[in-house]
Amino acid sequence: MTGGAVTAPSSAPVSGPRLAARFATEAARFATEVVLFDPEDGRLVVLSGAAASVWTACDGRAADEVARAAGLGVRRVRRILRDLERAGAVAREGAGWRQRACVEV
Amino acid sequence: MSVHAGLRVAQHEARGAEGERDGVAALAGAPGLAGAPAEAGSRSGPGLSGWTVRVHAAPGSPQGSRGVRLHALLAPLDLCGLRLPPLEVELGADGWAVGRVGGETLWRIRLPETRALSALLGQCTATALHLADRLFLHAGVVAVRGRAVVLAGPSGAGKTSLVAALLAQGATYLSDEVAWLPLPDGVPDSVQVPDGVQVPDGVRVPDRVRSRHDGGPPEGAPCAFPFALPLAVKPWTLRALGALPAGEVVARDDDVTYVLPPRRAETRVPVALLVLLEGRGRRVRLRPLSPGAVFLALSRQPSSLQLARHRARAFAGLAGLLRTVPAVGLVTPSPAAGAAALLKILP
Repeated sequence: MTGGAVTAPSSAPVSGPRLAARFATEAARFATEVVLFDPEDGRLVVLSGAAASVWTACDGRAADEVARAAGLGVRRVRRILRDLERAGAVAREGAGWRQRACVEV
Repeated sequence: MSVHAGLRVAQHEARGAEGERDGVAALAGAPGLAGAPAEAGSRSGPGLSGWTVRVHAAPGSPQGSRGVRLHALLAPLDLCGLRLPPLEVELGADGWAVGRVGGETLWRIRLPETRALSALLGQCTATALHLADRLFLHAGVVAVRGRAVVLAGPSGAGKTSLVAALLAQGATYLSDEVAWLPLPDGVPDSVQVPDGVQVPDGVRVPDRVRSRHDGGPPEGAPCAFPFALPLAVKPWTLRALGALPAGEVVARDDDVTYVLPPRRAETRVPVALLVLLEGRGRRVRLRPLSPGAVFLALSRQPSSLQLARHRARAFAGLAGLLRTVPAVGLVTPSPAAGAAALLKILP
């Protein structure tokens, strides 16, 4: 696991479930984790530690800005962003990164 | 009774016909059932409050005997104020069973050679869980000093054994395999809306992005409703316990004995702890689990997260539960040792 903290049930994170590109993904924030859930098909992705921090900072910022906001190194953040993108949790937006739209519960 | 097995049987038998509906297989055009429904009518004895289950089968036949025993197993179920539409179960002489609600066929299964009663009970349970507006998890539940402990784990993990061991040490029975919890009302009211995203109809966008858990304590403590079907004591459960749990033997189904514990909760109980059964070990080991770890474990088990009708609210409900209720993983050498360890840490 490159980012060390993107987990999905029963498969490796990179090749694991990918959240569908719809609006209705749900997100639950906990103290050090974020759980993303797609109610359409029941896919679940858990972000913990650094991945949760990076996901939280993805509001359109570029990777180096995300790294500053999350307090992490840029190279590590780029790896995490790739994992998050593969999991369908974030998407590129121009030069920046943005969370997939979600309903927060 | 095995919810998991019941769902699996239905899906296996009906796949390729008309598909499944939320884990309960849907199949229209059931073949003719031999024999007229001769044993009809709901049994209104003590319990089975809130739900009518009518079983039709030829009297005196093996199916008729199953119908009688099925009623006996369902009788203790009290839905605590919930009312569900009646379920009609037809047991055909050809070995098939059909479940209908409101004239619509919800499931149709060929009963297995062994544990047929358990398969039937699983179907009836799955129907109730499908129809009810509640969150369910595949878990046993007991109450200790007025607080509920939810014991989750896959089939064979030792839920029934641990439930029985806790009952033997003074706990009150709520359920063997189904943790029944309230679903939150309505849709979540906190939405993140990135630029350029079109908001679907019916989703209310607040003035600012906010989250419920930032706004103060959750509304009301999470609680568990009783789902007090008899304990399904399987051979490995009996080996682990050494003897049948105390209670009334309600029915037998091949190598499964159904035992109704004498001390049962009559209403909902606030939840104090969620326990994930993580297998056997030489020593008792309890470790705190994060909400993410619990979500991952529960996503592999039957629950409302897998029922399309309830998914969105089930996720919100489970998130709410995990914000207020601690979760631990339990490894134990025996049910008795595990029960003793849990009793020590409970308030």
